[in-house]
Amino acid sequence: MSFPLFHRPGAIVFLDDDPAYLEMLAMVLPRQWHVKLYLRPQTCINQLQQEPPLWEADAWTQQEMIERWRAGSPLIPQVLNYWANHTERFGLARVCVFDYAMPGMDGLQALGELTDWPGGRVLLTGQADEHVAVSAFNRGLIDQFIAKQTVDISQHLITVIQRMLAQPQIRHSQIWRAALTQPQHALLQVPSVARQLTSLASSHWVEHVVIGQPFGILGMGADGRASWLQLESAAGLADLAELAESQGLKAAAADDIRAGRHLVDLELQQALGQPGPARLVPTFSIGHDGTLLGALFPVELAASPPGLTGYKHWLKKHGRRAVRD
Amino acid sequence: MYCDMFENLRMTSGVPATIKQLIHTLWSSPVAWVRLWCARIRAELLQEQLVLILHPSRWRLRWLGLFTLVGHPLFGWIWGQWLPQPYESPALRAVMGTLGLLLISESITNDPSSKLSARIFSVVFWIQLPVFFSWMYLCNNGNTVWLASYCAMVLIYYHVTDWRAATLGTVSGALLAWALFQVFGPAVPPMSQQQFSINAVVIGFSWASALLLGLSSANLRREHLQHTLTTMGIMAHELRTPLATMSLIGDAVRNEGRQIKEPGGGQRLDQLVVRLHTLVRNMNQQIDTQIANARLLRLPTHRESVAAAALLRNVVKDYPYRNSRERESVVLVLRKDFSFESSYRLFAQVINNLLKNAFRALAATSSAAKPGDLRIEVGVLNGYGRIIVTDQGTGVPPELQARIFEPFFSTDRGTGHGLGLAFCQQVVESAGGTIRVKSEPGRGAIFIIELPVLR
Repeated sequence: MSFPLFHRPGAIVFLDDDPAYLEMLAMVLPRQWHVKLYLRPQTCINQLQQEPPLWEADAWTQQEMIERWRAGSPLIPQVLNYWANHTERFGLARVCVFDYAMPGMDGLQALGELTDWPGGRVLLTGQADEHVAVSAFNRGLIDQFIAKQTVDISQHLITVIQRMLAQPQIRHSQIWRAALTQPQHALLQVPSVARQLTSLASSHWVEHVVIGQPFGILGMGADGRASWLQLESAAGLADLAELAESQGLKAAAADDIRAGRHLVDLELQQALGQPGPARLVPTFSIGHDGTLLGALFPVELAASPPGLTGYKHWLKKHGRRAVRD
Repeated sequence: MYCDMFENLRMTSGVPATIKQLIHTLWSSPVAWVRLWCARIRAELLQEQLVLILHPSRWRLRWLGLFTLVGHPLFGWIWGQWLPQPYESPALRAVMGTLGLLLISESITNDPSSKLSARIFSVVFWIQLPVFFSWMYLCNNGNTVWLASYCAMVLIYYHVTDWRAATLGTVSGALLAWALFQVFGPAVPPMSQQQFSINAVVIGFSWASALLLGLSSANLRREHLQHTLTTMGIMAHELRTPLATMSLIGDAVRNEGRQIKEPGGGQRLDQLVVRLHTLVRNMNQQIDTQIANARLLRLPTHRESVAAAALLRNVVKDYPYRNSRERESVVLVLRKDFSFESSYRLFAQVINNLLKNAFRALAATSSAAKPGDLRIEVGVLNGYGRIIVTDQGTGVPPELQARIFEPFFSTDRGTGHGLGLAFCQQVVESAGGTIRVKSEPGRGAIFIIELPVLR
């Protein structure tokens, strides 16, 4: 498992012909999920078929950030602006869960209509339809199938969907890989590093982006508060201390940096273009071998673009779980 | 979870098409025709399960055993003493009668459907029917008594065992008896050519009849079994749907239990209880429907005066709608009330079945149901009371409209439909009325019930 370079929440779409079942799903699925419930295959397909151009436009926006960064524009403010202005990104569906047995059109036929849609596909089946699901899985039409009679089905569904949501999308990984140097990328592949970053990310943020210059992770919590996890390899501490001294930091503080006890947010300030008093934050080691240090800096509200309201706010506005007929 | 009735019906619509195709194939290529029939015969011969004991019940076996035990000595005496025939053998009769003891033996009657029972049964009947009767026929030079007995034997044989086993047994028994007759048989005068032909025709006729009847009753048995299994399948299928939801309710109750102290926790729990009750009510309704449909052939004869408007109002009010949109799509139009003679409970079930079908047809369309998409009208026309149920659903293909009222009308797909339209027709006709359907695919269906008005 590697740490995803780009992550954000997305919608989960359910299609079932039984309204009672959908209503119960609405009750048992985690509150922080954006769940869309559909009763009719055609309505659901029509909605999902509108997504591929949106995905494409979104990927293009991300690609443009990288291009501008290459031309000299720092990434951190660009990402913050993207988060503030492209709130519709939360509405794009990441996973769809279709019931197999439906009147008019079965779940596989419905999935077959979604040729360009890039998300994960789950088929809900009855016991008798299991062979259908196995064959669909083998043909690569679905990523997963779940029998409706599974004991503790809601927990099982949640686990499966969570795993799918955690998987990075290839397109995004490719885009953001360009913002990292090879050694930086290699560091993130170290299992112990990836593990620790994953748990850190899930406890602080709902979405994040890894960038290489400066090296760190820009993340945003559900409440819309952004923070910056500065990453520093042990070898880079001396350079950082020198930079701190040149910016007028005291010798004692520079020593702390050199010794890896503190990190300073000079690079963040530079990227945001808002020079202020440098902040020193204690470090923690990331991974087993102690070569990677991190320190978490909150991004000041003043530095955030207006409209950076976060996922929770968006969910409150859009997340009503109504069955669409 | 849902099995699509009209989808299934449409599958059978292939029947006329298949026949057309068959004729075409026959016309264009006799080779293909032969190949088709070979495939069909091969399937009938080899793929169907071999049932060596037809109706393997304990008492049937006992009676067959007793019949064998008593019958052989009795007929040995009749053809030996009372109405003597050219050849009769008390010793052989004794052996055949003793075979009957095997059928009565505990090991067979205790487990008539075991493999051992089937083997013993087959051997006993092979020896005492084709082998013995062929032997007697040959030794008596095919006289009237034994020609008739032989023909009766063939018919009996096809009634006790699988038609394939009976055919094989008849041929092999005759061959064995003929071989034995050549070696040990008494000398008989040669049969005239004409007598031989007469006997051959009579035996051929009885054998062909036995074969045909055996084959068709094998099919009938299979069909009955298929119907039973289909009904069970429908039932299981229909109950799975609410059970899946119920399982989620269980999960929700567990989640709520953890946060019962939170504001609104108790209220949410109450809502879940209401849901649970609704589901149970729907399941009961489902079971009632299936039970009613299962009793198709023996409807109770109870009769009362039923007021159409009140009946429909109640059914529409109590129907287990899946959501409010379904409820809102129903419009009840009362033009003129009338009364008719039927059973209130059964007729309510008829309307329930029709509503259920209509909702299914609506669910299979691509857009949400609007008010009026399911329209029920009550009125009187030309002295007949009319109840008209109109839906804007997927419709019934014309080639199926005549067949949807057939009981168990379903396809080889085996999932069944659970329409209950056969039930509807039965109840309506027992009230002296008629039910028919008008529909165009994709443009909804109209079910029209006409009933004699009670004055």
